[in-house]
Amino acid sequence: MLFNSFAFAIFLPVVFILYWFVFNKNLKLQNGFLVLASYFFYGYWDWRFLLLLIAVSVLNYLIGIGIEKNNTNSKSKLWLITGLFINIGTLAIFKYYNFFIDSFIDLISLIGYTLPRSSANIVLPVGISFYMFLSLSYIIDIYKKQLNANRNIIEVLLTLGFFPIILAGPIQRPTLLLTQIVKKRDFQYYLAIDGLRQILWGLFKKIVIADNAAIQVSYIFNNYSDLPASSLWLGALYFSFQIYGDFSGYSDIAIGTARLFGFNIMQNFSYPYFSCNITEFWKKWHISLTSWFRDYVFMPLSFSVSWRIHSERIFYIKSDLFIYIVASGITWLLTGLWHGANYTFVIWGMIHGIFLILYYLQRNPRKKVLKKLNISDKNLIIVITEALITLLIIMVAWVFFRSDSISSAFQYLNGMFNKSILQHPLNAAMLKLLPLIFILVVVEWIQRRKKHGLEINTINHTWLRWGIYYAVILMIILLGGQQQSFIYFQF
Amino acid sequence: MIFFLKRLILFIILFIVGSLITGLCLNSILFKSIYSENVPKLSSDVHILFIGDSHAMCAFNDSIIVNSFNASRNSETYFQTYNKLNWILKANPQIKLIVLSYSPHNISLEQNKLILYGDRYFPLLDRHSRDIIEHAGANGLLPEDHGFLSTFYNIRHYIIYNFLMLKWDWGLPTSITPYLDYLIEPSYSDKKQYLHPLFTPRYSSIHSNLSSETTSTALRRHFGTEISECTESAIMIYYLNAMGNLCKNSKVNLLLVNTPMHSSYLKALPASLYKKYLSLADSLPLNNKFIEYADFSDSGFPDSDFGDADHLNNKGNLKFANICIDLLNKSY
Repeated sequence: MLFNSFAFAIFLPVVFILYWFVFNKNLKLQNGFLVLASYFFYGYWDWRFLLLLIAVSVLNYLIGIGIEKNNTNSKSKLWLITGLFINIGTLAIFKYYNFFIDSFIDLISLIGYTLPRSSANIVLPVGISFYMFLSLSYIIDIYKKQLNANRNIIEVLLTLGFFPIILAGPIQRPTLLLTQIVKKRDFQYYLAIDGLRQILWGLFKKIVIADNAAIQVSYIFNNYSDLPASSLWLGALYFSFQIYGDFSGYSDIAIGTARLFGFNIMQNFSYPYFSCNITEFWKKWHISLTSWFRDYVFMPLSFSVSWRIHSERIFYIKSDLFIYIVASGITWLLTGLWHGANYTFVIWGMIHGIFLILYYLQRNPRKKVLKKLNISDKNLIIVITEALITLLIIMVAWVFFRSDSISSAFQYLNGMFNKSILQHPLNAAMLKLLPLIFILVVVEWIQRRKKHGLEINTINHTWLRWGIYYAVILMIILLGGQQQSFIYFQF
Repeated sequence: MIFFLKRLILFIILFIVGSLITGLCLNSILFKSIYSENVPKLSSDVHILFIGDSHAMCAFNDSIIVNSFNASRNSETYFQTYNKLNWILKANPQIKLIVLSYSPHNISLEQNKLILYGDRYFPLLDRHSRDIIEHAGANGLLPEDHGFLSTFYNIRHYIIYNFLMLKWDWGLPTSITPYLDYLIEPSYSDKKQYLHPLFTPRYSSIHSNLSSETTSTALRRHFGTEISECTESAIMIYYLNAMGNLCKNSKVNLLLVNTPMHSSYLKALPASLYKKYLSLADSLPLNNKFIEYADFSDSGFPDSDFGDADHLNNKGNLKFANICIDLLNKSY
């Protein structure tokens, strides 16, 4: 079920009313009802995928108990490995099977052998990457004794299948979600009101920004060879805002929906395009995924490598830098792969990995240079220049993310850097999105210290607040683009 | 909780009431002033008006053909062209000849699907056209692929159509995009009147080249997925006749032109619809001396002159402009 569908517009109030008026007396009933509602929401798309979700959730429930029961002996590790194998194996089969087979055939062809290509017709279950990561967190946290294995299967099923976050995150840590699930929840007026505000802002970003940008982006990326460089830059800019509007909009709707039911879900975006460097960008973009990779891949990998290194330098590189490069490289390779089974995503991840390493390398020299020149870190010109450079790197990397193949990405980039950059874009209609993007940027800049763009509870005048809501609703109705699916569903 | 629900319901009621009032103001002041009451006058030496959909838009170069003006728009159906022409003729009595693109797809049932998407035309509609939209369901205009109320987007359309179609011109503005067009369209900035939404986007040439993919895409777009089974649209035929009558009453000649098309497209046309098309092309001029028909669909243009299966590119267009000038010089 799509958040921006009519079905959801019916589903949400019905579930909301039943949840607070019928099942509010008993926590077990309330949780049981939420599990049913979540499964209806998920199965509405395709009931076959629901069976997979239930099977994975039940298996992880049992594995969690298995790990905890054996936490004093080595069997605990065996349970964990079984859990990792099941979760990663399922993800690999459904998402990466064809990619791995094709890559293997390509590799074999490099040494002169040709194997026949036969791709399996595997349908990707929607949201699989998200609930698999939730499941992995659940069993790893139990293994690390950061979480107790929950014996109540309903609570575990709800943790791994809660409908606002099941399709595209945020990848809420079970440690934080379970603690809310097991406690009695009372209706909180201000939480619900702010949840509605966040849903409205999410819809604006999705319907007005992302859906309008999608049309222009498709046109520009499909016809890049016939368009001047100025149009291609516009295409890269529009895609940057399309994917931001699409995914952060989705996250806002998900978080806002969860708040209506009394749950606080982690913030997933924190105005990432206002970042002054690539590290800051990744602290603000898809926070739940970045922190997941940090905690479950980067940190364990860094520790693991550092324990094996006993010299100060490796290949003339300081050991701490070497560890950072290795851990970052692998983490960003996996981050790229997580987004999709295509080399374009791998390259996109590696570009970010390389720039993060470069940023890491230049931090100290930069400080020294600025100190020598007696320029403050917060100097406006420095801040703006660095923010623009960061945005430029991100935009260029998005070209790989959006392109169908690496070669078309390079051709697109080649087209971006030529003298036609000063030409007027061929189609004047392309420019119509700019005022909408301008509105988004201005609002988010003003609200950059708040959790979302429409957090206006500090405005005391009800009529002013309501006027702003009405203005946003009218913009959604009048300026919204054609309905597009959420981009991150494919991941 | 009860307080929350009360506030929410109050918010929704106020929104509906506020929308009606805002719509009333915007519709009656903004759109009427732009569309209906201030249709600009074209220059007094413009005697020929090209009108129709993308076929006319890409075929008739009004910068080469003297005393002419191309007011066509891509995806415009006869339903919309008629209503547009009605306003243009009222404001521009100097026009002596209307050249309307007339190809088989113009009377195809698939054209009905485009009626509801032309919300920029809504303020122009006459009473009969409004009735057609108001009874969109009964007239088979609603898309079949996703139920009318299946998504939020369709609800949005539903609100827009129905609020606008309420009697006494109540309701939300159809779309503010035409108004934005009018304000920011950079082309033709030397002549303010040409920025009017009725007169944009005008002539436009295609720079691409023909491919087999574009032929099947054009055929599907024009005649649906079951091409051979495509039938004629009673609504489109009605408005074709209505344009004939409008020209007759305004003492303006009407020239129906079938613009050049690629042989691959022509060969794949649905037989029964094409037969109906030809019989109409014959009967209209017979019944009305103001109307003439010229068929250039099979004029032997080489592949290199086509941008896609049913549009000439800028190279082919230059050749066609000369043919048009000859025709217009001979006849008018």
